[in-house]
Amino acid sequence: MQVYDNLALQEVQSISIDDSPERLKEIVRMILQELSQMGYDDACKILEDESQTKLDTTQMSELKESFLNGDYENILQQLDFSDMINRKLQYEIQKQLYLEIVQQRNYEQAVNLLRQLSEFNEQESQVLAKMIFLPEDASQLYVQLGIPMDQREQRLQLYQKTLNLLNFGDFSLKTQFDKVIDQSLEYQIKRCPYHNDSNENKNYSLLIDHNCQSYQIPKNNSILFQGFDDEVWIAKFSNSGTWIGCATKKNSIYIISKEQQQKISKAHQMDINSLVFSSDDKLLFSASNDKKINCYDVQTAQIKVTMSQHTNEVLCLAYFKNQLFSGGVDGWIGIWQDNGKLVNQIKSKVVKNILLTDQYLLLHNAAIFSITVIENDSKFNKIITHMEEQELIVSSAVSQNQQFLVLNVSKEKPKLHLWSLKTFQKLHVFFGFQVKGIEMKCCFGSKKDNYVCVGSQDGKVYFFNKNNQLQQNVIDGHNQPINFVDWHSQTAQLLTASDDKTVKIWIQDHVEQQQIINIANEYDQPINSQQGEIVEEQDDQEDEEYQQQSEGDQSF
Amino acid sequence: MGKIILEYFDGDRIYVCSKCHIHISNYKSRISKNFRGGFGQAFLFEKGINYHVGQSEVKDLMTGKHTVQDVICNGCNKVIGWKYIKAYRESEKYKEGKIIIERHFIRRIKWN
Repeated sequence: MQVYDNLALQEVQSISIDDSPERLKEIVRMILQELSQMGYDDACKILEDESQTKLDTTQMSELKESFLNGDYENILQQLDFSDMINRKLQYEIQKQLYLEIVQQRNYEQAVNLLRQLSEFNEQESQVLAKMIFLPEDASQLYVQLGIPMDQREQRLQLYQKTLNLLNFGDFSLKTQFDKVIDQSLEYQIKRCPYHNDSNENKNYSLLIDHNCQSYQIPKNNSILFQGFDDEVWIAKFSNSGTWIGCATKKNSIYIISKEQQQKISKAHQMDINSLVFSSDDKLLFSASNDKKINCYDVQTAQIKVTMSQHTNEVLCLAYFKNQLFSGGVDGWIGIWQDNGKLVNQIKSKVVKNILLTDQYLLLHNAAIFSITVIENDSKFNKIITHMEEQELIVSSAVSQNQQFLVLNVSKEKPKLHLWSLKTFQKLHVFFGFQVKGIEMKCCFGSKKDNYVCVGSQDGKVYFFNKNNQLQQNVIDGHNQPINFVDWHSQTAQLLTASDDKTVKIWIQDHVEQQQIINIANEYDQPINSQQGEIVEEQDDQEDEEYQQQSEGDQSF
Repeated sequence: MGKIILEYFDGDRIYVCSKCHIHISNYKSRISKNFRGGFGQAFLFEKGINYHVGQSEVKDLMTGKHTVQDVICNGCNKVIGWKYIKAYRESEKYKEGKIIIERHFIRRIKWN
């Protein structure tokens, strides 16, 4: 359950806190300077008295005066430091002097000065020389040198330059407060993948070890469901988030909520490929390789109807606006009503997954490497485009806002492709997780569908930021491969189903104690009574779910 | 182990594994019905899907010396045929790279 930000941790650990008196003095003087710049002189005085540190502006302001007055001789006398700095300083001041002389059209003196200048910096001197000979291009030349036109501005700039050159002693106060903030902000924006997300409001932290947007990642395990009869291959939230439908390798279906857990063993004779809830969460549909679609009542877990019209494996289900869509190896997509009546058939290829948005019907083809996009009207005969891939598409998911599609193309190398559903262009490739020949579900999540989430062979859950290709977060989910991830947008919960026969729920908030729920085997003979016991603990984090539960009850 | 990634064929006349029903090959890919394996009749296919191969061995078959690999179904891990890697007789070279699936292990679906 760790949030990895190794780089930040290392950096922070290597920085030692400097609380020497010089540093403290420096801090006070920075504050003093900022206050005096803002005009809060009284506050300045009080701080000076209390902290016994003076900003010592007198010497500085005298120096500033000399600069603004162009009193260059005086300046050079006052500031006498190392040779290197002296030379540079001298050059800068002489350059300013030169410009002023040219301005006054004192060309003889100017040329003399120019000779001295060219000894130090040949390139700039050439530009300066043009000043004399091409006075019309003056403004252009100023721009080239990076010097403002106005004399006062020039002198001020020279003053700043000088300060930058001298970085010790009383003149070390070039680290102005707002400069510090600007520079650290720039640093953070470059470094932190979260900072770059322009969608969020600009509440940036400047610290290296900040946890910027990672609060959006549900990294805390709140509930563990254990006691499944085998590897859990599908685990899905219902639309309201109150129920979870799971399917295991032994072809059992579990319908789980806070209060009750129900198991339907041997729901099908062969692998269960898909589970969907109806829009009102009253029905759960399952599709299997045994060519049947079963419909169960969620509350009682009793089977209501079986649809056997398919003559080959049914690979996928989707529910949209009170209609069930089913697709598989047959080559046609069935549209059904809740009572099991087949109302329409659409010709298609072998379909691995059906995704529906308000605008489109997306068919994830199993045999050809593409997604067919069909207009979502009642006829479904208008093909808009094909989204082509180079290799087999393993799983697919659409974001909540219906703008994006993510495809798991992990036959050769594990990676995810992000597509836009507006432009039908491939946007990003994400990799870093592991796959060894088994299907891993990927999904979108978080409030603005910012993240793409996928489980991995090593049991970790990977989150990628959709807007920013840097890998964001990895959490240690399980110790065996994670087959299915489902992120419920409204309740902000993540569900992970794994080969280790458990299902976990993850939330953003901190969890005091993990709640463990053992799945009761109601339709199987329990071997010992302990298996039937449901362990419930008082946990404040679950209030959110309780609220959801009560909403669900009202709708019934 | 999780649900294994499977490929599928579009269209009709597909041969599937008799035990786990995953797609192996199709009618288009079938070159000859005139082969015999340990369990009876066998078909020669150009290519197939959802299988992996075992160790390559040099064997003496009815038609001569060949280098072959076992073909194993991905779903149930049963040996369902073999793949020709190399044929030592000129007349048998056409088989190289193709697979033999024994009829005993496959079924037909979507056959009209």
